[in-house]
Amino acid sequence: MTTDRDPVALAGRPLEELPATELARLLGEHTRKARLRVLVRDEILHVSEAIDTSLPVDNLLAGYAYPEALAVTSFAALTEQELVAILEVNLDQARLHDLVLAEVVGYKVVGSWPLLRSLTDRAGIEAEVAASETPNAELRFHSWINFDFLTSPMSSIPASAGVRAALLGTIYIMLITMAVAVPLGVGAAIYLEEYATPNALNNLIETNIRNLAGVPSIIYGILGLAIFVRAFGHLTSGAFVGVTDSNGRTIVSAAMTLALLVLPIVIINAQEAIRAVPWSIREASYGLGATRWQTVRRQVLPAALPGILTGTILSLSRAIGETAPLIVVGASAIIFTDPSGPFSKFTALPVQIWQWTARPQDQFRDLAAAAIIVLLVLLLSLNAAAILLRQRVSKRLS
Amino acid sequence: MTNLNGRYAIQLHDVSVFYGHKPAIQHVTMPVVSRKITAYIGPSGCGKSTLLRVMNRMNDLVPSARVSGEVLFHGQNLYGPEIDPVEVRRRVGMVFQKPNPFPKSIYDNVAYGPRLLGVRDRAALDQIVAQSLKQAALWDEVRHELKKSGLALSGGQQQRLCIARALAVEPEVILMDEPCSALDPISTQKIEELMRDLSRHYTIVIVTHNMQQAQRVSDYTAFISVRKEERPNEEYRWGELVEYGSTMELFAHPQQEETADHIAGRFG
Ligand SMILES: Nc1ncnc2c1ncn2[C@@H]1O[C@H](COP(=O)(O)OP(=O)(O)OP(=O)(O)O)[C@@H](O)[C@H]1O
Ligand SMILES: [Mg+2]
Repeated sequence: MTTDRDPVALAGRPLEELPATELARLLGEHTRKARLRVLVRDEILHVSEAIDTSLPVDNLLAGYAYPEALAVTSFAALTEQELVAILEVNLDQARLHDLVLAEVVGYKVVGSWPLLRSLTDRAGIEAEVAASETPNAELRFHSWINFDFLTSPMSSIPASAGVRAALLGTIYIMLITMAVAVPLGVGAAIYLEEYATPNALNNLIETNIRNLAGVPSIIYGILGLAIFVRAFGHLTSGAFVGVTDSNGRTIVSAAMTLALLVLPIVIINAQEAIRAVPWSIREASYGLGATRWQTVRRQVLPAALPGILTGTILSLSRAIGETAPLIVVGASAIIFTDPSGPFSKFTALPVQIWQWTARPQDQFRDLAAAAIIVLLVLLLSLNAAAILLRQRVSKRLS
Repeated sequence: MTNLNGRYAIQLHDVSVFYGHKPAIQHVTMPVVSRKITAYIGPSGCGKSTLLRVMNRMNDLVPSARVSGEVLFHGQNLYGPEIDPVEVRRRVGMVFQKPNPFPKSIYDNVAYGPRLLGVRDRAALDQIVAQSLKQAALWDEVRHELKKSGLALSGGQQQRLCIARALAVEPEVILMDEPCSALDPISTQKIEELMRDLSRHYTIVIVTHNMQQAQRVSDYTAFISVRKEERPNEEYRWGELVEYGSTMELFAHPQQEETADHIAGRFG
């Protein structure tokens, strides 16, 4: 990494130790006005489109903190010190420290090396760093993936960026996806296996479900865009609960789209599990005067449960890695805030990974790699949960 | 058949069963005498199981099956429009060829039927379970391990558990489809004794391939044989009732040559 200025020389002591006011002062002294305006937009307003700078502060920053004296001043007319004052009342010391590092110290990652080389060829890397042209170059061994990576929000500074919003987005989406797909899918499987008589219509439905399981996921994305985002936008945007900024591109829309995507898989898996229940058990139940529903409820479902659970978790792990449909449905490019509920704008882990890999700077690719590991761990733990659950339930039954 | 009310638990009138367009058994007319054991004998595939399943409407579970004729149970046609098949199966119980206990405890297996009927009271259930297991001659073997899985029992015990399970809903008739065919001689003997015992209170209909068994346990025997007919591209095979009578009569003095051949083990 390199720095434009020596961080210790700036304030006479390590930056981490400086109070918020000191950091804000440094930021104000060394940063241009236009950049400070961008920082207010990115760090406080969390919007990615341009803002109308002619508005007075109390209008533009409605709902956020700002010094009372600046209320009626037009945003464009604010001085550096005034802009910094606004940043200071909204951000904490840690965040200001990050900003000073990035904006003033000019802390930049200029290169990184693969894990294997960092472990085995430290001398080689040091030689490379020493031989490079970069001024103020400094070698640091940094693990991209750590606890902070999970809990920090997105940031335009790679070293302090994290997957918090994406991880939460993924979790929210999966919860709603399963809440929709599991009851529908298991219900459909029960109907097809236990109630439907094999006539032309039901055969057609079965064949179609099998075909739908093979449809490319992007097609589901387009379908979701047409139905959930456009046609039912007034519902999925959350306008009826007062959400106005989402445009239908919300967590519910994404979750419903993924629910459509996994529904055929859930149905097929549940059908297999139900079909594996021996016919003799049903016969015994009917023979004792059980109705169809009693037989399903008390014999078939409990016996099929381990299979249904495993199938469901496996389809969940299919959904968790889907990227294309989420992008089509309108995952947000950059999100700094946690999802606030089913009607908030969203991003998800695979989308975040895709966006990071698309950035030109190397460090974002390191971030993407770290996020891939997070996704992988999530997937593996889901599959492990499926196996454990299956063993537990089948032990309880036999 | 004179009308001896209460003497016949079930009367079959010209009963035929088709699977799709293929006949499985045709034109069966015969009674099932109350509190006696009636045995069906006949070659494999002649429709014995099919006929048995007609008597508690288990055929309804096979979408392609179609039944014609009348099955009178206390003078009421079981296939009448107002009859609920679920109700029929509560009054005409069934024990299957292969023991099929539920993957649950012995207790829960026996309590399944009563629970379906809404019995929730623990003491009442305990009492029904104990009584049914005693009736099925299984109580002494399992009384201390009612929580054990029904699947952990031996084959013969499993079959008696299935009988206890059927008895727990207090049916009037019990249908048994080759109940001993999967069992060893000692278990078979136990179940045969049990059937004799139960016939004091229940009407029992059994299907068996074992001539000795039919003679040992049954009071009445019906012999069903196979009829064939060549059709273009396919052959129809269905069963017909050849002879029905008291077991002693039928085995000692069969009226039909076909019956005599079958019980002597001469197959044509
Ligand atoms: N579910 C079904 N669907 C179609 N055909 C069936 C079905 N069950 C039985 N059959 C046909 O009906 C005929 C009679 O079958 P059934 O099982 O009643 O004979 P069975 O006398 O009990 O034979 P076994 O002594 O071998 O048990 C057979 O030809 C069989 O193929
Ligand atoms: Mg049979």
